[in-house]
Amino acid sequence: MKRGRAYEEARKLGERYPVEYSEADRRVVLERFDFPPGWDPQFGKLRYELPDTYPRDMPTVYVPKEMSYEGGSPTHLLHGISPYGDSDWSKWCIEDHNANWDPASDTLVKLTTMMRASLADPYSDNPFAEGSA
Amino acid sequence: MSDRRLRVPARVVRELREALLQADEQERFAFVDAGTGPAPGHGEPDAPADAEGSADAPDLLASEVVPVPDERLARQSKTACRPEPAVEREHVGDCYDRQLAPVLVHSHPFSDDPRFSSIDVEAMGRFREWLTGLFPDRPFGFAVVGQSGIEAVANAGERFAALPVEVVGGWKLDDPVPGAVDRFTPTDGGERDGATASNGDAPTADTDTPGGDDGVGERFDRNVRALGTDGQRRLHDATVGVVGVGGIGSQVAEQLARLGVGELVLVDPDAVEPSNLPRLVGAYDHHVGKPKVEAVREHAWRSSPADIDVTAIAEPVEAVPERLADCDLVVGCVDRVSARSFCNEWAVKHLTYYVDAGVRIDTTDDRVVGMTGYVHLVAPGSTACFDCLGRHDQEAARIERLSPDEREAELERGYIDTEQVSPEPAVIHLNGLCASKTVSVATDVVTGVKVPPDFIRYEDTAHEMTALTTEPSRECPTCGDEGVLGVGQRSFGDAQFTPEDGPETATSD
Repeated sequence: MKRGRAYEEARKLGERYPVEYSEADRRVVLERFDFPPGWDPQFGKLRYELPDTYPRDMPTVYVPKEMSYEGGSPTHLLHGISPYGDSDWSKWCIEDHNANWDPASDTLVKLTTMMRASLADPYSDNPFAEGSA
Repeated sequence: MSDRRLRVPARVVRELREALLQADEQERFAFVDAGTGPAPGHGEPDAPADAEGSADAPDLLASEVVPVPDERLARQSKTACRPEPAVEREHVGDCYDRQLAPVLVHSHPFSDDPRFSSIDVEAMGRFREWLTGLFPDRPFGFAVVGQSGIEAVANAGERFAALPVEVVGGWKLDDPVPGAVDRFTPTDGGERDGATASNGDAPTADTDTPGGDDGVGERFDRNVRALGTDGQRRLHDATVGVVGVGGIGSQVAEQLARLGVGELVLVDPDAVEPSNLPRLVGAYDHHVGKPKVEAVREHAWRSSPADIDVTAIAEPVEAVPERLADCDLVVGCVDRVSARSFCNEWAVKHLTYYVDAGVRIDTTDDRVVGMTGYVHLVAPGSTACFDCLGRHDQEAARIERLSPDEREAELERGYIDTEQVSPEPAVIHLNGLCASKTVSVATDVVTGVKVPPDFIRYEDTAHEMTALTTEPSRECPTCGDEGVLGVGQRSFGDAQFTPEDGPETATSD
């Protein structure tokens, strides 16, 4: 339990990435995430918006709006959807990828792993199942 | 309820007894890490700097039992025990780091109803001197556990103040804690008179004033004959939050007002729509467009004008959690699963009773195939919470969070269908039945006249009502071992974390 689940998970993420955690805004930003091959630029931010009901519900994920994949924009990247009052971001529909979020075992660290799989196969509807076959 | 208490879930009482009372009759030691409740009457969480001292200091909320292993005790016998100083130092520091308050608990296995000994009091004084030197103005307490009883004190400036023990869901203990209070025990320490309708000498009301100064006047005479004088006083002293005042919540509010509940806090962001009028008790055509809470407040007040305070808050509950701070019990009658989850978590954090109520009508081709209602009592740490039973619906919560643009886009792409965002079928008689059972459960909790059921399910097709028993789950993300039971309202602010070896650049996790 320590300082609360979101805080502790952000701290754990901070062992691998520079992380900014805002309790009041319910926001976690990975400052320098290494995007999988095909994405341009290679390094960029990842932003997790935590719902009031976290960890029962999955965070909403945003990537910088300038991100592109092999010069295009996968369907799961919604350029028209950004956090309220901040248009520098685009929503990544991780939920469309059959994420099957389990609050008992999934964490922000696991979400980051899921994001890597999702971004590595951005046109797939189920990159996790295909990746494990 | 204004006196400071130690609130302890039934589960924590059991854990303390198991850890500290063993067959060898040796004294043992444990820490109870406790959150701090909202300061009484202020509606705001209390900062640690204000957390000690007066009778208005916030309650301590027992969150977690951390037994000290025998090998880490510096001294242990059948009449004494004391942890190694390093154990105390490390645990107390860790506790404050997590914004919790340590309660140092030892056992008197030789006693049924224990009291601190003169040696205990002397040692506690030395500990206070040491601790307040290291951590000034931080709350802490002591408790001693016997075969049945528990005595507790908290620091109060230059002295210790007795801390009545309030067992949350105390009816779940096979061996109750003697002398423990419950949430609704009158602050003058009055005992229940046990009066019920079946008593030959049923009490009658004070007829001097319609409601009576203490809520047991002529107006409530029939209630008093059913619930007893003490039960009616408990209702009068209670503050109940009703979150969601639609078809169920408006009827819950009216019934609570007519029962004689002293204070209602109504929370709902919605305005009255014409399609609400067939079910919204107290709302009429002229209320259309006005906040539901205003219509229901007016109706509740008219139902019991001299005896009730009603606060109306036209906001989503997630935006005003501090307004629940003074509630002794919260009733959730909302149609959003995320609001239910929020209320459940708030109740678990603050060890406050929560009653969740809802109905569901299933139709196929415009034909009703099922009508059900349920009432779920959450006594944190004593009965199953919303998440113990897996009642949270991630997909429904996700749809609730979508902006209008996102919702439109998902409808176009076929990710959600129109049924998922259409209004649910609803009828007043099903709502009314659910509201009455909700009030029945709330009345059981407040008055203690009978033991409340954990969960009621009503099936309208067969007219069957079933009461179910529930157990909290240790794996529950909300009230389980890794959850937020009793942590109160904590705030750690913003933080930056940086890898020791610089940013990670590997391509796999």
